[in-house]
Amino acid sequence: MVDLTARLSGLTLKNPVIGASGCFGFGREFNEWYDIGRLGGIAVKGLTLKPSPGNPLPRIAETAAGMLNSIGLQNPGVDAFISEELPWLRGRDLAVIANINGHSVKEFALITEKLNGVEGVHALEVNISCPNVEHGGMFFGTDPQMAAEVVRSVRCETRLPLIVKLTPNVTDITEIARAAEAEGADIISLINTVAGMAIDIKKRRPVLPRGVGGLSGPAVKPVALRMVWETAGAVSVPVIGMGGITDHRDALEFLMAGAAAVAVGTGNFRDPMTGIRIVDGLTEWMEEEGVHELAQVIGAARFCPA
Amino acid sequence: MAGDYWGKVRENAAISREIYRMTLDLPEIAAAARPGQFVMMTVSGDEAQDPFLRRPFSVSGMDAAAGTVSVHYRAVGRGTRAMARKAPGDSLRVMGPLGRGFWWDRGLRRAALVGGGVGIAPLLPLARALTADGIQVGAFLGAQNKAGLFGADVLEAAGCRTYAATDDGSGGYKGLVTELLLKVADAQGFFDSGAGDVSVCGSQGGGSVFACGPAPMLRVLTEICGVRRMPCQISMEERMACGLGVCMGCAVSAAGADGVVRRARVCGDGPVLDGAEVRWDG
Ligand SMILES: Cc1cc2nc3c(=O)[nH]c(=O)nc-3n(C[C@H](O)[C@H](O)[C@H](O)COP(=O)(O)OP(=O)(O)OC[C@H]3O[C@@H](n4cnc5c(N)ncnc54)[C@H](O)[C@@H]3O)c2cc1C
Ligand SMILES: Cc1cc2nc3c(=O)[nH]c(=O)nc-3n(C[C@H](O)[C@H](O)[C@H](O)COP(=O)(O)O)c2cc1C
Ligand code: FES
Repeated sequence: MVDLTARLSGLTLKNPVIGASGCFGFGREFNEWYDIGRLGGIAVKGLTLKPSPGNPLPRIAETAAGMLNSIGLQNPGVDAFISEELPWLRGRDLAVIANINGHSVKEFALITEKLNGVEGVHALEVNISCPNVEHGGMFFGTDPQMAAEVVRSVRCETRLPLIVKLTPNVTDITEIARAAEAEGADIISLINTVAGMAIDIKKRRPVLPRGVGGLSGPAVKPVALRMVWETAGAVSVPVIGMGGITDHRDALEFLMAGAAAVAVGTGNFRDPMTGIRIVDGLTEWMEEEGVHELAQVIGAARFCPA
Repeated sequence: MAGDYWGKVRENAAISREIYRMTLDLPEIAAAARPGQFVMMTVSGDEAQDPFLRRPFSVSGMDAAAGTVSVHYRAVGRGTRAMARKAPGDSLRVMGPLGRGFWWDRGLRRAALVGGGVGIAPLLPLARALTADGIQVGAFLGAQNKAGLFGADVLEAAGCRTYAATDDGSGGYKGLVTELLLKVADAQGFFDSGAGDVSVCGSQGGGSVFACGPAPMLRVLTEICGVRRMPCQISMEERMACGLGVCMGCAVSAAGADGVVRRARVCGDGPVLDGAEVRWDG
């Protein structure tokens, strides 16, 4: 027997595989394919204070080994999440991570207040990294001061484990990670999507109406891995790694780079069984390698200065 | 319930200068698919990462006895061009049947099917199912030119009156298929049968329009049907990432019976939507 338990400060997952925010809905659709209770956790679709209709279509543009999205945080709002989606999720055996999005520092605090003490919410993921909204979003995640301010305001409101999700669209991601840690982040997750673009040469216009979209999928994996490596080396809180993971080998790369858990996003779109395939693949791999617990893998690729 | 299967290609060939038909062994999907539902095909190999996303295609034929499913497609980009290169014996990963197909009830007497381009595809199994239910069906096919027209043989074999229109006049009526529909349907008094509760297909007047094709065509059709109080179901096409209802990539605007405008996922709430409910300007 191998032990896949992932211990992230204050948040314990029975295995390190999480459905990534925006790529796993509220879990219902994938539960038609397998018992989502077999995953370590789910980060639900990004929630805003009020229901949000999202961006105009088209919202998807496929690119080499990946895709650009411009969903714009379409979601039913935090209240509807609590009343309509959470009761169902409570019956599933996995950690529920509420991904929260504010247009202002104050809104982050207001959403947090609503989720405080609500049964069935195991952690908050503060999304300061969405490239697809006009106000807030990635803006908060590209400046250490702004990031700190958001994290501080959420930290004041809650004792729930606090995950801060970083954008890769910065010069030095460790700077933002350290700012978040200093303000009391319990866990850092990364990466959100990479700002990118595609142009329709026939129309001579960007494919996506807002021009810029967020790149995800295998195309971003090397960038994500490098940033997880850097971040895990710069902070002492645990890191959740994501970006282009499609099988257990990808997941192992992130774990060996120093991530304590991984999230799977775009991979679910190609194969709805991706999450569970990774759990099974990791289990088998550990058995074959004689690795008894996950901790033995985490950071295994990091050089050890004498 | 949808599943994800390896489908072995039985036949894959160009049936005209523009249109290909692929038939695959997919017994589970063949048994479960309803007219208007679709499948998501993986066009790159299992280990390949590119093209990463699956492609959506309407089921254009299902034969439960033979265990086969067909799609008609145009080779327009790198995914469909890769499909065109598949040979009998090759296998593709196919997820389906997905989405909500066309619906009707016992009140339906007469149906006009309107297909534009590859939008003809889902109308083929629909025509078979409707005529099997004893419903009188007229089919209106539109394309840019003759090479884009297909399915008339299937439709006629199913017992439908079939009409064709092309933009350049190379096949059938020269002009838009919606113009042709108006001419024929008005002459036959088709729309007179529609007056009634437009939200319940066929329940009142006994007539309904079922359509699939480019968005401008569908929009014009819903306007035509709106004025004449004729139910109109449309199968829509949007860019999809998941096809499963989770990514929100395909969300159009639609007003419910209560008049409140909501987001409807073409992949999950559709692809067939009540045309009267769709809000075209977002
Ligand atoms: C519900 C549904 C049913 C469909 N049924 C059929 C059918 O029966 N026959 C047929 O020929 N086509 C059908 N289409 C369109 C078909 O999915 C596209 O032609 C195909 O995805 C193009 O892929 P490509 O790689 O060749 O093109 P590329 O342009 O290289 O594709 C790039 C990306 O854009 C997407 N895309 C491109 N064109 C379309 C389009 N028109 N609609 C949706 N996504 C698109 C692709 O899926 C891919 O993600 C349907 C689309 C939907 C949504
Ligand atoms: C369609 C789509 C929607 C997303 N929505 C959110 C979101 O609401 N909140 C969030 O924090 N990240 C969101 N993301 C980012 C993913 O959670 C993830 O960080 C990113 O896609 C990289 O991982 P991947 O390559 O495995 O998808 C979204 C990504 C995609 C593709
Ligand atoms: S394609 Fe993902 S929700 Fe429809």
